[in-house]
Amino acid sequence: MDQSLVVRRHKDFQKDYDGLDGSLKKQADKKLQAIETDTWQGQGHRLKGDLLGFRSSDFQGQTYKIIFSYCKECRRVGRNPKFMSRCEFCPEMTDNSVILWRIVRHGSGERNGYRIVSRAMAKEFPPNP
Amino acid sequence: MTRSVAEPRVLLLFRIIGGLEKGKLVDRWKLQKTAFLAEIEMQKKGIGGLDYEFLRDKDGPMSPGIYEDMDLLMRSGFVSREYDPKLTPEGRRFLESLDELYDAKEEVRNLLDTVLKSVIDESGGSLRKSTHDMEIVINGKQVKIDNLPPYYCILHPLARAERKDEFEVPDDWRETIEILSDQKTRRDLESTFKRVSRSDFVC
Repeated sequence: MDQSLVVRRHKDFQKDYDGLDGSLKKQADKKLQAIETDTWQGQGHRLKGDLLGFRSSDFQGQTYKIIFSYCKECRRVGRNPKFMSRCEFCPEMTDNSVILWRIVRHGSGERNGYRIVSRAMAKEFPPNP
Repeated sequence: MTRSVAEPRVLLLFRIIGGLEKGKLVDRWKLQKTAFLAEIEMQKKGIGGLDYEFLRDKDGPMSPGIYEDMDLLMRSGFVSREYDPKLTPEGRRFLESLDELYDAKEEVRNLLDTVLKSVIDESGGSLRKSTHDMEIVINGKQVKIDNLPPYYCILHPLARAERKDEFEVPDDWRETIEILSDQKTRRDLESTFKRVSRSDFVC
């Protein structure tokens, strides 16, 4: 297969991307470049169950995940209609299309909880001067 | 300490909670005793995965790890109450979506189903009594669980060397479960996927 991919960005993806700070954006850009130039369509994890048809690729360790799909693959494996049915414009999408859906942050709750606890601890037991 | 819902033991516990819901009222004892019986059956066949350590409590075999994992499932919004566990509608649907994962390990699935079938009509109290009356072998001697000192370790997770098989979570499933077990992420994805039209794309 030697055809370049056509990339489409969902507006929620763009919102997530714009919300990243400089260094995270750089890391995201590297991943995005790999996804966008990967004509063998082998980037990231093939998701299962409710997220069948989608893929995810991590950056900043495993904290951030880009959720995307290769249209060709998505059509082949199908989707879980209980979570998301086929896109209504699916027939118009060419096989070389890739859709960037979202950037999600994994485990933010736990990390925030840790920060809250450490702040409270520091207040209660201030470090020695 | 378990750090993710995608750990095998949490997923097996999740399945047990789901299975118990089909019977009489589920309470914390019933869950603890069912997990204990399932672990015994899995260990008999040399299957690892559930991996809880059970102690002798006044209420029968009990694993503190189960409460920790329940907390994890509650934070994910899949289970609603800690002591009398109940799947939320979201949890029920999510459990259904994992069928393919459980089906891939048919032996484990059948084994859990058999244990669940045997306890489904029992109350937590009767299971407490029957597990108290069970006997285990300590230093070659049969000892009734009821006669052991408090917090004596009744059952250890199966050692690696003794495992013939194991309930494992493949990487792709692990990734999916980790993404969907975060409530905020799940909501975000649902809102994005709710209705997708051409106008939703910026380029």
